[in-house]
Amino acid sequence: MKNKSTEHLYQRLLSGDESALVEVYEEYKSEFLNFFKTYDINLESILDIYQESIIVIYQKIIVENYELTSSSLKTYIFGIGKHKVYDYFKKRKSETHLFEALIADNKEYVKDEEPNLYELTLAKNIKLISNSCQDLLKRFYYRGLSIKEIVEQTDYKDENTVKSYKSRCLKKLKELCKS
Amino acid sequence: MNEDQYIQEYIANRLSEKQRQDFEVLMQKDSGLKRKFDEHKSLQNAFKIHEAERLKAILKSHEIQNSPKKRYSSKPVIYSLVAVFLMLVGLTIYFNLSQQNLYNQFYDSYPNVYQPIVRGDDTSDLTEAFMLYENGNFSKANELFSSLLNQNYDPNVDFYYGLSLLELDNVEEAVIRFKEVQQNENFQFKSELLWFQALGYLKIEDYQNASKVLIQLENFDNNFKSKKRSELQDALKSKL
Repeated sequence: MKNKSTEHLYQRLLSGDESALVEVYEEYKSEFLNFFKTYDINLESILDIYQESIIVIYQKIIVENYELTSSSLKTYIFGIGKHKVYDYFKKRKSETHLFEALIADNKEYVKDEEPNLYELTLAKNIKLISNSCQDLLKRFYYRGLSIKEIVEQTDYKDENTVKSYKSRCLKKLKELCKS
Repeated sequence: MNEDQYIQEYIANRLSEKQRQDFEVLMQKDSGLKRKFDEHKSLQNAFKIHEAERLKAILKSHEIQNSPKKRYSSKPVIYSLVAVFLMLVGLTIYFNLSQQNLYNQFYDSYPNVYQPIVRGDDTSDLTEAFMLYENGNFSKANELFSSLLNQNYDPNVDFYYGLSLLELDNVEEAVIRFKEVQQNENFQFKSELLWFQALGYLKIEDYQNASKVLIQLENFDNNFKSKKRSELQDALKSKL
């Protein structure tokens, strides 16, 4: 980490503080837009790319505990952005060799695999389960909290209650995917 | 460490290099563990997609609220805004304990988390309606929601229809809509709906029903806005 304030911001992101996400968004927005203004992308699309880049780094931090050691938060966001801009032109069948420099020196960012159909179906049906089920499954599968940590952070009575509720929620989600 | 913990620690990069390698070898040998790992990873990826949509809605709404189009630069406008602001501050202090203030204290516009607005060629009425809603054009959004509901009923759209009514200060009708919407199955915003229904009752000074709905919310989803909910329940006690 480069300095104390970035470290503080990183710790807030790590704890899932979404107001820190908005702060990061504001922190690097104008620099990001400025960096890509020479490319032929409209403002709406580059803002979309910027928002998606911020979300990728946020999820890397809270899901994979990604540590910003060799690269600062800003460098990483720009790294993701460059890949996304490259993909943007690739999708439009532009002459991508003109943009290969964008990703050439940018090896630290490893792109996630594209989601498969099952994952997309699960994602669609998450919306249909109750908020408390969403909350519990999110804590376990997304935030990677142990059953014990979930008991500590919520009002569930004990670990067995969490386990049985989790299994009911999962069953409901899978049933919805089948229907 | 049980299997679930092992998988979680592996995914969250909390294992040592040696433990990671051991786990990978174990997965090659144990097909049951590999299946469990794949299932866990799929659920995690699904939640990443789901969360990414929600976070995108937050950033988009933040962007709209802070977009330059909404910033006024002419001095008279600024002075007027300052005057309006000061007047509002004065009024807020004056009506500090008033009913309206209690409502405003708890009311926050609910963002569009149902229909993701993405760049591209999607010009459907549904996208248009949610775009109007995101931009705060509740009157037009309301009209379009209404026409969409006449064509094809979707309780989730109906919930946003109710929210747009609430924004337009048509509170009685919003409360009626909310009551009807929650009868539907496959409706995904039940906790949110109960919260806004309670606020609707609060605004029309029907404290008894506001309390009842908050109890319903507490029983249905204890974690949803638990702090705000109990604060409002406490505030309502003095009015019953």
